[in-house]
Amino acid sequence: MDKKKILLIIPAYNESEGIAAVIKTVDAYRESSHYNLDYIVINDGSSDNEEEILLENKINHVELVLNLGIGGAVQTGYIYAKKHGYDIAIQFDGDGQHDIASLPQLVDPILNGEVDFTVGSRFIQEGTSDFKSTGARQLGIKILSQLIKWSSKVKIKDVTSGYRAGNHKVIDQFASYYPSKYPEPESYMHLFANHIKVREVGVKMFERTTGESSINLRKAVGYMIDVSLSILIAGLIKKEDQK
Amino acid sequence: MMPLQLQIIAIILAVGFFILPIYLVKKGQAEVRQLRKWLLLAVIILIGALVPTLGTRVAKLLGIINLTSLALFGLTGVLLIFALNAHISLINAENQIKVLTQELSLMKAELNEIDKNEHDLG
Repeated sequence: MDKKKILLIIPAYNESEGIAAVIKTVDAYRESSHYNLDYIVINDGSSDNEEEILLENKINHVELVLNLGIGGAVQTGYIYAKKHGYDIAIQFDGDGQHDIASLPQLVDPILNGEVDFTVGSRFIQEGTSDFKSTGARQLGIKILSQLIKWSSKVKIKDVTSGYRAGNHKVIDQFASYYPSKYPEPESYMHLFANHIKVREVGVKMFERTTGESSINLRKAVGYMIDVSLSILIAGLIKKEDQK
Repeated sequence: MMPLQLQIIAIILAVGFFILPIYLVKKGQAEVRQLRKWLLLAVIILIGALVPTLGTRVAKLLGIINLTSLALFGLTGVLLIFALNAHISLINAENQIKVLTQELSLMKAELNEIDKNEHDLG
C-alpha cells in the first residue's frame, strides 16, 4: 500500500539564526521515521539573511517576494501541499518551538481516519510539554478558548498552538481561505463550519531560543480584541450558514 | 440664509474638486471614471453655494434647521461613504496582492527547481 504523502509546512520570518538547526532535526527525523515525510520552509519575505542560509544549506523552500505575515505564509504552504498532492499537511514553527518527536501524536489519528484535524496542545493531560508560556499569555489563551466554546460548543484548550495537522479536506479549505493575521484561533470556527472533525492531542513544545515572537506586550491588547471579534463574527456566520 | 463666508468656502472647495481631478487626469495619474464622484460632489457643493434658497428648501423638507447644518450633515455622510468605499477597495487590493505574492513566489520556487534539475543533468 502507498504511504500517505505528508508535508511539514515551516513558516519562518527572520529565522536565519535557527532555521538550519531546525531543518537538521527534521531531516534526522525523516531518516529515522516510517512516514513519507517532506518539508517546505516558507521564507516570509525575511529582511535578515535567512534566504542565504536556506540556499547555502540546500533547504527546500519558497521565498515570498513580500512579507505576508504568518497567515499568508502558512496558507502558501497549504497551496503548495494542494498543488503537489499531499495527503496530510502539518504546520511546524521555524523557530524550534515544536518537538518533531511529537509528530506521531498529530499524524496517526488522521492516518487512522479518526479525525480530519489535530491540534498539538501544551495544556491537556497527555501533553508532555514543560513549556506552557507566560501567565498573561495563558490567561489570554483561556479567554479565547472559552469564547470558541461559547460560539461552537467545542473545547480547544491550546487555541494559539501553531503545531497542527490536517488531511486533504483541511488542505483544500485552508488553500482557498486562511485568516491573515493571528490565524489559529479564528481558523477553528471555519473548520467547524465545514464539519471538520478536530482533536486536541498532547505534544511537547520548547521555549524559543532564537528569533522574536510575532506578538509582544504592546500588541497583546489589539490581538485579544481582533481575535475575539473574529471568533464571534465567524461563529455568527457559521450559525447563519446552518439555517 | 447661507452665510457669505460659507458660500465663499463652498465655491473654493468646489473649484478645488474640479481642478484636482482634471490635473490628475492630465498628468495620466488617474482616469475620469475613478474621479467622477469627486466631480459630482463638486457640482452639488457649487449648486448649494450658488443657489442657497434651493438648499434651504431641501433642508426644511428634511426637518433640518438651516442650510449650514444640512451641508455639514450631508458632507459628513458623503465622506463616510467615500471612506468606507476606499477601505473596501483597500481590503480587496490587499487580498489581490496576497494572492499575487503567493502565486509569484510559488512559480519562482518551481523555476528555481527546474533550473537546479537542468544544472544537475547538464
